[in-house]
Amino acid sequence: MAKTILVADDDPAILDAIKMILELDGYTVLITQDGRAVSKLSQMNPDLIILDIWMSGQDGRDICRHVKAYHSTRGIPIILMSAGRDVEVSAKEAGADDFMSKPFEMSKLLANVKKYIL
Amino acid sequence: MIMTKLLIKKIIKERQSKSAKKKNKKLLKKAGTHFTSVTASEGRFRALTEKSSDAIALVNSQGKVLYASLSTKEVMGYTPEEFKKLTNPFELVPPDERKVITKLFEKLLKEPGGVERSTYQIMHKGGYSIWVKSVMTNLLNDPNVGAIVINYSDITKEKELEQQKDNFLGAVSHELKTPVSSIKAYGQLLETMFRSRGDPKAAELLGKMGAQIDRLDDLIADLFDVTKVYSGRLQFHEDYFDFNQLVVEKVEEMQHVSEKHQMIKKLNSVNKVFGDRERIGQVLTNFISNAIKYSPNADKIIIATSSNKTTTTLCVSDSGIGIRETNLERVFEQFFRVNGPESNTFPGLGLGLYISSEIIKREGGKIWVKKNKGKGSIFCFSLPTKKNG
Repeated sequence: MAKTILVADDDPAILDAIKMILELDGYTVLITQDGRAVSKLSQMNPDLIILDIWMSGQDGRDICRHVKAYHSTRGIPIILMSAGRDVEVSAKEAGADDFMSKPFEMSKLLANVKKYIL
Repeated sequence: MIMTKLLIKKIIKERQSKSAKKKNKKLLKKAGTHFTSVTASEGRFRALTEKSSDAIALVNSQGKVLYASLSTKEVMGYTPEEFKKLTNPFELVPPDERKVITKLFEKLLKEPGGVERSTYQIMHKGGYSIWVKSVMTNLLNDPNVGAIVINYSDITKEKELEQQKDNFLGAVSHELKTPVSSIKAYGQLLETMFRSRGDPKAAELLGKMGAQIDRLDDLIADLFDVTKVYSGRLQFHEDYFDFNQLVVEKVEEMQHVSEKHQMIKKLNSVNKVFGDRERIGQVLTNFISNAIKYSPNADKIIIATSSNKTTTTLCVSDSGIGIRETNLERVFEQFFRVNGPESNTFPGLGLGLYISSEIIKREGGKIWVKKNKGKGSIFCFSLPTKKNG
């Protein structure tokens, strides 16, 4: 069965591009532009969550903390991503399993995903 | 005034002699003229200080305000009398900054004739803070002044404009990064599709487009960083890390950027370094990308590390166009760019080395450039080896 990845970013273009890249590699992809929907969607137990840090009105690090605080969702690996250079440490402090800076190499995205989805 | 007193003393002494009467007359006339010129210069001084838009205060070595100009009311809301009643002129500065200013004041006390310039916030009598540029001059030994002179210029409006500019540049960089990220992703998707459909030429072109997108991304990142340098918001996350390992990673990354240049590593056993790994890596990337950019006809770049008890040093040598002796000091200035032999300009914003020097300074290190013996330049930085390293 195809593994499911939840991707959240407030930019529809990057969301679309990531969805196409991941689908091309055989994953099922759920997308949302609304950071507040992530906690709810995480209840569907995706195999991985990829979250942007700077989303309008929402900080991806806060969402990450929230998802990692619940027993039922704490085990889902989270990759935080950002266009900022100096947020990696704060991303890890928020409980993210990995960090990816934007723009990224497609190969790096896929390699990162494979680290968490066997 | 002292001169006037001396003249009068001289007159009294000479009065004792009858033969000096004539001379006395002349001296009295001279003293009178001098007295008038002193009064005139005092008037000029008063007019200057009182009409100046800057607030001026005279302070003794204990920090007690001896004199405050009328403009203290304009600048800080306090009348000269109210200002003189303050325990010291730094009472209006927020506590954190007050410590720094007080230290500057104490340092200045030991330097007769010395000047200390600083920019800080002070609390206006109206209950809001304003930005001032202050110049403190030690004239304690000057018999005409006998005090520390402090000038305050209100620069609140300039600071606000500066803040607006920084915010704007920050927003511009972030907004530019967003479409660049998706363009890069779409480009790579297309490249993969063309390759799988058996069209390597189209895939190659998209690969070249990707390289240009990376250049654009680097320029935006520099713009983003420089706004942080200006506003003091460049963040550092320091820890101990394996310096040579970082060099190996960055060299490998940069080898992909230029196949033409062979990157030669000369890594000596070095200490663990305490600092922000990513930011220091950024400096290294900047050095190597400059070496590539400014040595289009060369094929080798040497990256060397070394350390002694106190510092760890990295140098990147190229045999490119080099830098004129007169420009060696200027390359770390913002917007400075080196021209080629035919004045052809190399691409870039002239920010990379400026940001690099700010990063190294913040890490407590040194950055420099020297001429390469044969041809080209050697860019180096050194970082202090800290305890437990």
